[in-house]
Amino acid sequence: MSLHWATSPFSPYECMNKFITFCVIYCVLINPSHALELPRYWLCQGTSQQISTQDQMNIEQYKGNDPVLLEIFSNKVYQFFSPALAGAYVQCATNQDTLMFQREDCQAQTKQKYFRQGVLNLQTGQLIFSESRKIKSKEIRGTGQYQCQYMGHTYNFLPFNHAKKSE
Amino acid sequence: MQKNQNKSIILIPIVILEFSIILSWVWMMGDFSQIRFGVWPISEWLINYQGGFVRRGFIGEILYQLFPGQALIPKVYQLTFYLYLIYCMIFVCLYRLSKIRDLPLLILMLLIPGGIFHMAISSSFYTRKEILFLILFGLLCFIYLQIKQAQDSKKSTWITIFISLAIVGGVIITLCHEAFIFMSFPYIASLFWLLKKEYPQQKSIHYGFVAFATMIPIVFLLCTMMHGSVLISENIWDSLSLQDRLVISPHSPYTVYGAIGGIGWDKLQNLSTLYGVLVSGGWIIWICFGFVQYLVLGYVFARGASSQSQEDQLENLTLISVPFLLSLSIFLIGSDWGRWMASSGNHFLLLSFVLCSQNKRPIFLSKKIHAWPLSWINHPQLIRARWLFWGIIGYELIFKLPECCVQYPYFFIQYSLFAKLFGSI
Repeated sequence: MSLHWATSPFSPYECMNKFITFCVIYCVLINPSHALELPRYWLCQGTSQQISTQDQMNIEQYKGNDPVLLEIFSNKVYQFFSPALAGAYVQCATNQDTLMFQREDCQAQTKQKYFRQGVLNLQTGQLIFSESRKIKSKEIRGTGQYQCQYMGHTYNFLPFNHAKKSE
Repeated sequence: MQKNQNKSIILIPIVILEFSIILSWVWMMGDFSQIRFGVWPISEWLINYQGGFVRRGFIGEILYQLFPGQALIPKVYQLTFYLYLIYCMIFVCLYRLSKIRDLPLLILMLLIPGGIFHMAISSSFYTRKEILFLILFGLLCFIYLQIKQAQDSKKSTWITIFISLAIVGGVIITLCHEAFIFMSFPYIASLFWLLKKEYPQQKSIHYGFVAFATMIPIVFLLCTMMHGSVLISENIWDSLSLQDRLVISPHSPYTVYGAIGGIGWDKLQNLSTLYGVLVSGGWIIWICFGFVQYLVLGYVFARGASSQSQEDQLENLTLISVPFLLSLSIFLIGSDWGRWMASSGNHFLLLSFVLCSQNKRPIFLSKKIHAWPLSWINHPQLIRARWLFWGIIGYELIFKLPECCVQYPYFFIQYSLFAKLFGSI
């Protein structure tokens, strides 16, 4: 009951939260253009898969369903809750319908030694992730399919149980 | 009757200490098939120099070189348990060396959130590299008290040990984790300064102090310049055995994760974790925790120093308040606010042992800090009030400092969890 009160978007607690957040960030960040641009969050549920092949034979396969939290801030996309998508990405082609992000730079191609790319449909919330990597004689391929929900400028740790996991 | 009561109260700190050590031992030294603490702290111990020199890599590199190709995580469990044991021993030694003879106060110190008992029941805080900071500071406090008690002929030897350990230990620990400069450096500098003032004829202390105050910031700057990159973090990750990577990231062992991934974070990403503390609703809980911890630490100090003159108390209060306030700067840099509170509190307790054990000595400070609410010393009647003591004990036995990411109900002690652990033995 109390938890519902605390997490309701229009509760005094949440309103105060947002107000303080805005004030602190505005004061902390020196660059005014950053101060007005708060991070935006997308919370995603779905599955990921990582397959390791050697001489065209699958030798390892791993599957997971950790929730993903995309943090869009400045021209970057950060994700550190789900191990499968962990990392910092740069935003590439973005329009009203899609947000594409890649590891390192937008000129990277799938044939590179390490390639990671995510495409988020901003209208439907569908996120498709793919990666490929070469480590010595091994070839690693990763995929992920998620359904995302826009959270605005806020999130909480409940979907991740992060407080418990970190101890 | 009174004598029997005094005898039985001696047992309480012994039981708390033994319980804490046994619980940690059972948890850390037993079955390694289960993960024993969070993947973030585990992965922080594994940062090494396999991607080139980088901040936080010193211990991970030693582990990597000592056990090449092996799973290192079981070694990390053992290492953290032994470090915890050393810290407990130093804590007890300092209590014995200090002139505090107040067992209820010792009980309160052992039970403080983030302290020895809470470390054991949540397998947190001692599993972080801050345990190294506490051991170094505790050893320096121990040596300081030895200097005070030693005969004149042996003082120089102890002073040399103090200076060498502060400089060499400080440099090595900064290479283990650069946050040493925020969390521990102010406390060590305060102790060093006190030693310098007390023995003005010993020039070695003066030069040692200058060397310490110069070298730690230089090593810190070096670590800041070598803060890491995505490529370095990937190289470190790839250098680990598949067994270790599967423990940290069972669903994607070929993707860098945890604190090793943090080596590749940029400033904006670090800043956004601070933003996360605010928007995730943690701030109100942290403010409550911070305020109560501050009150409890002030109470501990005032009760420990209650036999001193008011002039000494004010001097000592200033000597402990300045490093305490300086150590809070870490709150503006990192988002693991529970860790910062625990570390600052534990350093505070260790320095309290030193300052509360002081005999009458010259007054060095012309200006004093009357920091409220640390200034319980102005209320001697209140600090002896039973309701206040039991109120603090109640707080210590109900609430638990989370390391980070505070959320309901993980700021309450989960007694059922460790009851289950003992039940399963």
